[in-house]
Amino acid sequence: MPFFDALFYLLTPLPFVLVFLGVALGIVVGSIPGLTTTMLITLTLPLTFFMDSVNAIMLLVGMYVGGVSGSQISATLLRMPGTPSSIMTTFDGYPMTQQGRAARALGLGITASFVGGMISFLVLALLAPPFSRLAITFGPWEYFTMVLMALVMLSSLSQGSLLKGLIAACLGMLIHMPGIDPSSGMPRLTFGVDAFEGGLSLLPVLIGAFAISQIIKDIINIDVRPPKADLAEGRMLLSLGDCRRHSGNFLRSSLIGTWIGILPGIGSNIASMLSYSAARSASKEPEKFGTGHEPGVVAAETANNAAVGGALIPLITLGIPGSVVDAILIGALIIHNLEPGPLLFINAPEVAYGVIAAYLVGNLIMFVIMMLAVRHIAKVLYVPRAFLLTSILVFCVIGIFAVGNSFFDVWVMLALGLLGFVMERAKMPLGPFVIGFVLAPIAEEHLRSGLMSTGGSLEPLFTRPFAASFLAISIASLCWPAISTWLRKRRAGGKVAQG
Amino acid sequence: METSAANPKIELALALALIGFSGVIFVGAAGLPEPRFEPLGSAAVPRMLAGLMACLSAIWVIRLLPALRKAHPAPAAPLDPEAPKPHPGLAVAVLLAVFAFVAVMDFGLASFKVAGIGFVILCGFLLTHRDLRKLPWIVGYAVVLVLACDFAFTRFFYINLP
Repeated sequence: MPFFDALFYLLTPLPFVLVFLGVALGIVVGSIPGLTTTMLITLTLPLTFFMDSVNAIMLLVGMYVGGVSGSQISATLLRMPGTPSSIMTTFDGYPMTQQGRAARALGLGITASFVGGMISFLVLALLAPPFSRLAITFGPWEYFTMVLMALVMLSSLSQGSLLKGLIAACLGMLIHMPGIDPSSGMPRLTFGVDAFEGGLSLLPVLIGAFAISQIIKDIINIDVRPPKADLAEGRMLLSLGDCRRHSGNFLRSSLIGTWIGILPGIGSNIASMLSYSAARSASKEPEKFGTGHEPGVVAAETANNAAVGGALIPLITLGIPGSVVDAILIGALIIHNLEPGPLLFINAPEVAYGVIAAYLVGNLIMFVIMMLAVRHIAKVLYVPRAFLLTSILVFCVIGIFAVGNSFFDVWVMLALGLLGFVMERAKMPLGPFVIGFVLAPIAEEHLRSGLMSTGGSLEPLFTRPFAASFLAISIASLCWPAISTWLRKRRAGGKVAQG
Repeated sequence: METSAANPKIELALALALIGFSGVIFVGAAGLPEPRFEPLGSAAVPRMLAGLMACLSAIWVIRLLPALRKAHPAPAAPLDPEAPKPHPGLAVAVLLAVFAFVAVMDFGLASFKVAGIGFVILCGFLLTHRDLRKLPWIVGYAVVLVLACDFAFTRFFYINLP
């Protein structure tokens, strides 16, 4: 069984230490508002260049699990979510802290994260291999339409306006265009600059867009200091009765989170929002949500962790990112000369199953670390920002230089940092931009090879069942905002007429 | 219609810049060879994307126009003396320091050790609001951080730093 081979390998000293380190770092960084899991993983990527590919991917998956779980600490204690995935946790976690029940809120959140992760792991382990076998039958048209679907869904559902999301996706794809044309081998859009012939590398774009732009924002708000939170003594471990009471919520939120995670481009923040809404709708006391109600914390934290496992399914089976962090993990696979997609299970099963094993062990480690050390971890919320931001800037510059031994990449990173900052000021989402950048070569390669195979005909888009379905979902995602607005107006008009 | 909480002037500037960028891509793609062995060729995808981005950005500009016409200085909100002030000037200063740090190494004017220590001291000093009492701590931290990075990259990862 390749999964158990990967699991036993993970339990040997070096991989285990790496996953442990990844989870611990993820928790610490995820808990600090202003530092994100995305930033941690992008900054770690240059270092993984020197590691074995399996160990590198395991380390990054550990960070992913730790980061999503760690963000609940600041969300609960300070009402400042470490990452957007914990926004919903603030609604009930922070009121619980104000009521002197911070330890209880964190205990609930940690257990919920663990349960969500474990249920999601089961879905990941059961679905990923058959998904990859199905995906092997996909041709260029299926891949092209799947990339299209991922970009459109991400643009329409991630955050903000569909228009800005689509522009961001186009910009990300365009930024990938300069370099050597993959089909003809001729330079394209280099404008006579030799350095452009290699194209823009993934790492400078990622670190610029996420780390540098975030640092600029943090410097502008450097005087915003988190209030001192009192993490009073209290029992964190839930009793069996507590677990039984929340079991329905655990299961429902895990399934919602996993399903949302599987859908391309929708992150764990949407998963926690939907799960929170579902828990409130199903509750006999919906009015208590938002006032320090325990099921609110459970729903939000279960779903956001479950979404991580769900998002890993399209990542390892199709090479399609479920979220921005997944796009970076795809970048990590590419950096290690691995081809993300269904062939990963055939060409590098140790990596594909390593991701699944690292997700399982990462969740177990996260539960232990958080339960034992969350009171100490909470102290990092107050690390002086001047030292932290300066260190990150040095790591960004030297890390990017180290990967390509080139200052061109460093300048690209700084330029993309400024672009990312301006995009965020204009409320343009960075997710579609980065995912567009990652998916552009896949989309172009498959479109061109598809057209070559049909002599220029687009007919397979409509005659191949999966391609037609993906295309239909893309069109529906594009039209949905307009349709929902029309339906809302019609309902509102109907109510006025009745009134 | 979608509403936006962003500054419409920043949005307009970005939208116009993106239209300009689309134009640059069109000009660049015009010089690419016609397809010979395949139906699409190397210029088609950049042209399609640039055209799409230009159209979407134009729609964005049109949507922004009413907001720009309405835009007038908002009445000054009562200042909360407790609220922390934003520091855009500080961000600009730190960014200039980063550009200088990279440029100094790129043009071979200083090694990573020298430039790095200087950068961390300058950056730390700026970010602590030029508090001289914290300067000795910053200097000590700069030396430790840069030497540790240099050691890790040159001895552990075998990379020649500038």
